[in-house]
Amino acid sequence: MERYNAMNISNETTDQEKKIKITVRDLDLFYGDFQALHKLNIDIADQEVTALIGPSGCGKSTFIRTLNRMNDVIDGVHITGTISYETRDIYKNYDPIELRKKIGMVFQKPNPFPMSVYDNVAYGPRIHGIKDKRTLDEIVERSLKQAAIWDEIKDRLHKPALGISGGQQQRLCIARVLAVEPDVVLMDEPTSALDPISTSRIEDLIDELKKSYTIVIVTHNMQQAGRISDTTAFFLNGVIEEVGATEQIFFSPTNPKTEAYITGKFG
Amino acid sequence: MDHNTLRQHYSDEMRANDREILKMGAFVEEAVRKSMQCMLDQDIDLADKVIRDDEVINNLELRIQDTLTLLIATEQPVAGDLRHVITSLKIVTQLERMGDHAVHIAKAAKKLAEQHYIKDLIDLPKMAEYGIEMLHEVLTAFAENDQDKAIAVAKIDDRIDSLHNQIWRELLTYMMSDVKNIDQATTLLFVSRWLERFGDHATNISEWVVYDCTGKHIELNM
Amino acid sequence: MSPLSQTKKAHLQEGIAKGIIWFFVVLTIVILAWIILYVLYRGFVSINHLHYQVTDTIETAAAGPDHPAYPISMIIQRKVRLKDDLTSAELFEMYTKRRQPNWGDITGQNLDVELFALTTESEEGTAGAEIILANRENYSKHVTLEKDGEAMIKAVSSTPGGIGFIPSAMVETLPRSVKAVPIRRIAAPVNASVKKIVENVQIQTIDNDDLLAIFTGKVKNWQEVGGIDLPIRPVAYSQNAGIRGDILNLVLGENNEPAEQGILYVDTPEVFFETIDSLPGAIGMTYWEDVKDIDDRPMITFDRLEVRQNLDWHYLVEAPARSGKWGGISTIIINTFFLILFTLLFSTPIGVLGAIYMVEYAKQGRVIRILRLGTETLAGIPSIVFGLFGFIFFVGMLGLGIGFISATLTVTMMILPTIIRTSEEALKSVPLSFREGSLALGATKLQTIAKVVVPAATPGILTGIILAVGRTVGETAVLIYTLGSNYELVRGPSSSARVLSLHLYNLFSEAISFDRSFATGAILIFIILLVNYSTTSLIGRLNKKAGK
Repeated sequence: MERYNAMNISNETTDQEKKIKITVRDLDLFYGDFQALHKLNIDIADQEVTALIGPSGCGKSTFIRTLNRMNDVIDGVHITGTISYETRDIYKNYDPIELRKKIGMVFQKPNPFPMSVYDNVAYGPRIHGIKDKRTLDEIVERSLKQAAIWDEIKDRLHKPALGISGGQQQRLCIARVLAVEPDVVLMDEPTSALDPISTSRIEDLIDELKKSYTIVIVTHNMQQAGRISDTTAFFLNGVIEEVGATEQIFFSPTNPKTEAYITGKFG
Repeated sequence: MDHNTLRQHYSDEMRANDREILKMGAFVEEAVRKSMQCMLDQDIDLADKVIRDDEVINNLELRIQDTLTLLIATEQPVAGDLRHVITSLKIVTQLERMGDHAVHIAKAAKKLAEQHYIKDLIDLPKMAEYGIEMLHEVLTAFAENDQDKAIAVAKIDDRIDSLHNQIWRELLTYMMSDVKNIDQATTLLFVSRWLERFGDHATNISEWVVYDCTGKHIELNM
Repeated sequence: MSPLSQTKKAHLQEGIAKGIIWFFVVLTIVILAWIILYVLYRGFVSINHLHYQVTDTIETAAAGPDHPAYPISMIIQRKVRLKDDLTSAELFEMYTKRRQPNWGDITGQNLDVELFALTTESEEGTAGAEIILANRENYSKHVTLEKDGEAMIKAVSSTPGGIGFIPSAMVETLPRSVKAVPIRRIAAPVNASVKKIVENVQIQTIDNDDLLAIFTGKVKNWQEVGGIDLPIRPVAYSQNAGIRGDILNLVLGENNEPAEQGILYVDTPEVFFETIDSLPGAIGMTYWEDVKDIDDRPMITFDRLEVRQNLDWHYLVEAPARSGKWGGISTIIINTFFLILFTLLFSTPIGVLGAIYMVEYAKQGRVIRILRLGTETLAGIPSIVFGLFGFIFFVGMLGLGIGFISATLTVTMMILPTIIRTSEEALKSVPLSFREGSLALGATKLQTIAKVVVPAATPGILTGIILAVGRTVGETAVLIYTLGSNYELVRGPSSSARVLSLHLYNLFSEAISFDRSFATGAILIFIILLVNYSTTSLIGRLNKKAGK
C-alpha cells in the first residue's frame, strides 16, 4: 500500500549516473599499535560534495588525510587496505608529490604563507616549474576569480597575505589550491574558524566549485553538511556507521546511532 | 533512541507538546461522547455545552501549531524529530475537524430534541463507540510510536463503514415507507455520515503515525 | 575583611608592585645610559691635566714686530694639527734630538718633524738660535738651514710636517699653507727649600692662578698652595732689566697689579739666580732658556687642564703607528671588519644548515638530544677556554701559527653554538601549518624548507647573527692567543692583525693612551649600534613584507 515515495531514495538508482573518483576498500589505519580507522569502505563521487560528519576524535580528519597521503609525514602511521584514485592505488602506485597536485587540501585554520597574495597563489605553479610571468599572472587571476575573491583583492595582490581578514584568507587558501588545477579538493573543517557571513560565502563557493571538482569536506556542523553536501558519511570511533545520500541521512537514517548523532542526542 | 543525554530542552518541549496533543484528543473524545449522549437523552443544554466547548479545541489546535512552528525555527529538527513534528502538525488538524463533527452531531441533536425518534438509536451509538475507541487507540499508538498498533486501529474503521451502510439502507426504507419520516431520517443520515467521517479522520491519523515511524506514506483508507 | 577594603588592599598591592618594578626599570636604564654616555663622552672629549715647566703665559707675535724680546715667530706647515702652542722645552727637544723627532708625541699624528732654521748670518737667525737652543747645544743634523724669511716660508710650506721660524715682521703676510705658532717660555725656578719634604708634604704643582696670587701678594706662604710652611719670597726682574723687565707684566696681564710689598726686584740674571739660590722660599720668573743648569736646578711645575676633542675624523682614517700611540686606527677597523666577515662566512652556513638538519630532518631521538645538550653547553663555555683551545689546536697542532686564519677558525667555533641555537629556535617557531600547507600543494620537503620555512625563520636567524657579531666584535680573550697584535692591514691568512677589542686592551693595559682607549671604546659602541640598527631595520622590513 505504498504510494508516492519520493522520500524513499534508493542509492542504487542514481549510482549508475555517478562517476566515482576515489574508492576506499577495507581501510585500516594504525598509529603504532593503536588502530584509529577500522575497515572503512566508501566511494567518493565526482561533481559532488561528500561530507564526513561525526563527533570529535572519531577519525574524520585522520581519514581525509589518508586521501592525499598527508599522514605520511607522521611517524609510525601505517595503513592496510586500498585507496584507489582513478583506478591507481595511491599508496602503491602513486608518487605522493604527484598525488597532491591532483588532490589538494584546505585546512581548518587559514594558513596563508607570510608572503604577498600573489606569491601565495603562485607558489604551487612555481614549484611545479612554471616560471613565465604572464602565465603566472593568468593563473593567479583565474584562481582568485574561481575562489570568488578577485574583486576584493585585485588591488592588493602584492601586499602581505596576512593582512586580510580570516574569511578572505581562507578563500585565498582555496585559490591557492585551485591554482595547481587539482581534480579533488579536500577540506578539513574549512569554516569552523570563521564567522557566519564568511562561512556562508564559502558554502556558496563550494556549491559553485562542485560543478568542476570533486569535494570532500569534514565538518562538525551538521547544518552545514545538510546545506551543502550530496553524500554524507557518519563516522563514529573510527568506523563509518552509515553513508548515503544526504537527504536520506537527514530525513530517515537507517542506523540508530546516526539518528542519535544528527538529532543531537549525543556529541 | 538510546542515548538520550543531550538536547534535554528539545526533548522536554516535544514531550510537553505530545501531552497537549493527547489532551486535545481527550477533549475530542469527550465532545463526541457528549454529543451522542445529547442525541440519546435529547438534552438541549448538553448540546449547547458541546457547541461552546469546541472553542477550547480550536484554540488548542492553534496553540499547538504555533509551538511546533517555533520549535522548527529554533531547534532545526532533523530525521525522526522532524517527522514527529510534521506528524504532530497533521494530527492536530485532523483532531480539530473531528471536534467539528461532534459539534454537528450536537446541533442535529438539538434539532431532533422535540421530536419522537422514528426508531431506537442502537447503531449510531455503536458507531460513536467505535470512533472513540479508534481515536483513543491511535493517539496511544502516536504516543508510543507504535506503527503496528496504528495499522490495527485502521481496521476498526471497517466496522464503522459497514454500520454506516447498514444505517443508510435502513433509513432509506423508513423514508420510502412514510414521507413524514424524511426530515428526521435525513438528519439521522447526516449524523451517521459524520460519524463515518470521524472514523476516516482517525484512519488518517494512523497513516501519519506510520509516517512518523518509517517516513513512508501509506494508504489505509480503502 | 569587607569587600571594599579587600579591593583597596588589592589596588594597594598592585600599586606597590608597579612602583618597585618601575624603580628597577628606571635604575637599569639610568645605569646603562650612564655607561654608554660616559664612554662616548670620554671618547669624544679628552680632559687631561698636563704638567709643564713653563707658565701658561703665551708670548705671541702680537707682541709686535718691534718687540726686541721676540724678534722671531715660529711657523708650522698646515698639515700639522697643532691646536694650541709649543713650549721652549719642546722646541729644544725637537731641534737637538739625535733621532728625527715625530709630531706624534705632541699632536698624535704619525708625521716626522721637518726642522728648519735661519742661518746665524742674520739677526733673527741668531736670536732664534739663542731662544731655541738656550746656548746649551747645537742644532741636530736634521735641521735644514735657510737663508732668509722667504726661503724659510717656501721651505716650510712645501714640506709636510715642517717647522721653522721667521722674522716676526713677516707674520702678517703668511700664505695659507703655514701657520704661526705661539711659544710659552716663562719658567719659575725656586729655592731648594721650597721643594723640601716635611712630614710627607712636598709641593707638586701649582697652577696659573696660584702664580698670579703669589705675585699680586694675595698668597704669602707656600702652605697655601700645597707646600710646606714657608713664607714665599717672590723675585722678579725690575724695569731696568732690559727685555726681561717685561716678564712680570706679561705674566700678570692687564688686570693685575704686582704686590706693593714683598717682591724682590733684581736687574740682571746673575743677581736673579744668586737671589733664588740664597733666599729660602724664593720663587722667580725668567725665560726658560736662561736656566742653564735646568737639569740640576729645582723648578716649579705648572699644572694645566687641557680639554680637546678626542675622537675625530682623522683618527678614523689614519693608520696607526707606534703601537697605537700615534696616528689613527683605520687599519684596525678594517681588520675588525675582515674578522667579522670571514667569521660569518664560515659560521653562518654551517650553523644555519646544521640547525635545519636538526629541526627538519633528524629523527628526534636520543642522538639529537645529546647533540643539543652539547651545543647548549658549548654556547656557555667561557671564551678564554676557546682561546686556549684555538692556541693549542689551530696555532700549534695544525701549525697555522698566530694569525688571521687561526683567529677566524677559533672565533667561528665559539659562535657556532649560538648561531645553531638561535636558528633552531627560529625554525621551530615556524608554525606547522605553513609546512602542511606547502606539502599539501605538492611541494617536496626540500622545497618547503627552502621557500617557506627558512624565509619565515629569517628574522630569528638574523637575530642570532647579530648576537654572534656582537660577541665577535667584543671578543678579546680568544684573540689574544690566536691573533697577535700587528696593527697593520691584514695581508693574508697567516698574518697577525689587531682588531678593535685587542687594540683597546693594548692601549689600556700598556698605558699607551688613556684617551685613545676611550676613543676606541666609543668606536666599538658605534659599530655595535650600527650593526644592531641595520639588522633590526632589516628584520623590520622582512616582517612587514610577511605581513606581521
